[in-house]
Amino acid sequence: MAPDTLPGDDVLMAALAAHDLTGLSGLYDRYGRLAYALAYRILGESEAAEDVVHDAYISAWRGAQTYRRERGNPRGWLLSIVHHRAVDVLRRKTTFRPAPLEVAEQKAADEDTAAMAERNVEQQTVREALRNLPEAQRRTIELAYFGGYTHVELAELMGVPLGTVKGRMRIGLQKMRRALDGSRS
Amino acid sequence: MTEHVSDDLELYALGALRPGEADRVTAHLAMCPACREELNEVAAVVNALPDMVPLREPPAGLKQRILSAAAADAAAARSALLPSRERAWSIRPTRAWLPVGALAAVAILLLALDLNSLNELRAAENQRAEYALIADKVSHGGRNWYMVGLDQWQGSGGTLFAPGKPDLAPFVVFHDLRPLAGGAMYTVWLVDADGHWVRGANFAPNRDAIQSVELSVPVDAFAQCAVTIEMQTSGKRSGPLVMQSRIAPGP
Repeated sequence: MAPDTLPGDDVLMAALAAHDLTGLSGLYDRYGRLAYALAYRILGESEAAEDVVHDAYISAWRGAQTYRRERGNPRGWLLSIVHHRAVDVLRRKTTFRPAPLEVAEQKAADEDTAAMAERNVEQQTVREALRNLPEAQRRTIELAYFGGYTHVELAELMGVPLGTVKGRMRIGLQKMRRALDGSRS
Repeated sequence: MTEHVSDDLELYALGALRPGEADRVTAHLAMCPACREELNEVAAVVNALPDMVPLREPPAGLKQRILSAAAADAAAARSALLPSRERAWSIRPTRAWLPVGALAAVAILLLALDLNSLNELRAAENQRAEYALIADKVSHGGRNWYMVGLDQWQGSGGTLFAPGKPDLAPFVVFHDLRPLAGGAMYTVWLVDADGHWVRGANFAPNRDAIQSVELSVPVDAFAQCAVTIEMQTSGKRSGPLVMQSRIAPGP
């Protein structure tokens, strides 16, 4: 079913919590591509990304009754499960992790035009907000979120104190928040 | 209540804390509405980060794989709710201890290669051809790993044996397996270090207190073994995880 003809997220979540497969199916139709894109972005390989998305949706299926709307929307809840699982898989691998910024730039160039055209204004705003950050802040946020690096690893990788890593994340996210709030008002 | 975690919320939301540190923050958040509120604001920004990523079409079969797994999960949950008289692990409580004793004896045997223990095991269980066969296989030495039942499968378990004799296939001795409903089956998997799952065997539980299942794949190249509940006899893993263990590298 096309994502825009599906019931609202809260309706799908209620179905999921009742162990109704239509809820799971609807959430996949709406967020499956984004979930897979995120997992692929973190892991860099299709098979592992597929397994992560599979496991994340099954985890959502089992844990839907623990979901609380006041702690975030279904999209954020689902994507956070995908993110945690993908990072877990990444950290278990012993192979070298490439710098996410370089990988992102490579993959962005590969994106097809039709897919790009589907992204709405807010999504473009996020991209702009991150790209407009000073490089150190942007790189710190990207390496943490997409590269799965812990703050201790980041401090070592970037040759800065732990407090600097934390500060870059805080200031960078605050700037992004202001940019997003500005675009919504 | 523990100290507020405001300073760590960005790290937490980005997933940049180490596991123990994240656990501490999670524990605090469970008790602190103020920190939860603050986290929600940070998370709203972090949850927008996936929008940075170019969309990518998932593999065609992924949706069906997820839905099949969820259906199998539901079937397994229904099996767990079957009346106790229908559950193999509870209808013969005295027999249920036999495989535990047998496995313990086998484990001791493998550690010490004590032929006396093997003979005792055979003597005690000589009426059961299954036990005798298992005892024969492990008498050649080898290695073994125990998989413990997870979640609603607690109480079930299985020991994967890699016999020391090269021409013997690896096998798993299960105990207290729950019956399955709706055409579901148990599947034994071997998982390599890169996370690739290889199907080693499909089987239906025979309702005996102990059940031996031979694998079609040698275990040497793998890092983990696992059992799931599946609806299909081939294809990728999609069902719920029943039990799992690491496989230590060979000598």
